[in-house]
Amino acid sequence: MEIRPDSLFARHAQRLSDGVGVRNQSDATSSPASDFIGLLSSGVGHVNDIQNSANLEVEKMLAGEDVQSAEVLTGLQKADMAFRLLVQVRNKLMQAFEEINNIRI
Amino acid sequence: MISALDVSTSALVAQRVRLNTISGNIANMSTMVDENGENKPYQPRFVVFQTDEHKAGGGMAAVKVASIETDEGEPLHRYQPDHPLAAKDGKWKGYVAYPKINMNEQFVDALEASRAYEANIGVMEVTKSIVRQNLSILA
Repeated sequence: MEIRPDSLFARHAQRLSDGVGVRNQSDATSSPASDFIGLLSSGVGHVNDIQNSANLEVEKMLAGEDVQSAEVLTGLQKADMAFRLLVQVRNKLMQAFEEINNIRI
Repeated sequence: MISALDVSTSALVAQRVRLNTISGNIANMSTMVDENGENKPYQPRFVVFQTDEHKAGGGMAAVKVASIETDEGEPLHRYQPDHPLAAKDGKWKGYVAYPKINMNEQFVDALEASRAYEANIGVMEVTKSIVRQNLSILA
């Protein structure tokens, strides 16, 4: 199974901006690092990079190339840890969104 | 936190190389002729480790194999004048040169390398469990 954090995050960001509807687009594009969404999406990109490199290593190992198995397995473990952290951050964010969504005006 | 894993991995790779050289030493325990067919008994090899400051950063030192050295000591001589590889003249006339490999030393080395391997895997286990516990702060 292949997990694509990019699409997961894109869906999530869509829901966020749909729900809140006050996001300033020019703000997000001008300062991606200081913007929270920008920070998160760079995090997602980083996790994706780690997963891609782990995938590459595994493919090399399965193809019988001369790679150190310890390095391959460490790469996998790092990808797993990074992804778990990402999912937790996403869960926390969703929780905050749900809470704001349930406020009665 | 993740670079701690890199440090442990570098140690795993280094100890693996050490185990490989020990395997070579034991495999060539009675090798009398070298790669080119010359009458030269196998000389045991050993690894030299070196700190690697660039792998992890942040003051942490990983480890890498600096070089694989050869033990240039005198081989073992046995008097076998009828052996085709026996020395024809000189000080060791009639003697055959055998590799000087002490199996006890090699096995103790192998044991140490495999225990070091285990220890590093133990450290990785601790790192992983800390990361997992950290996640529960957020959840």
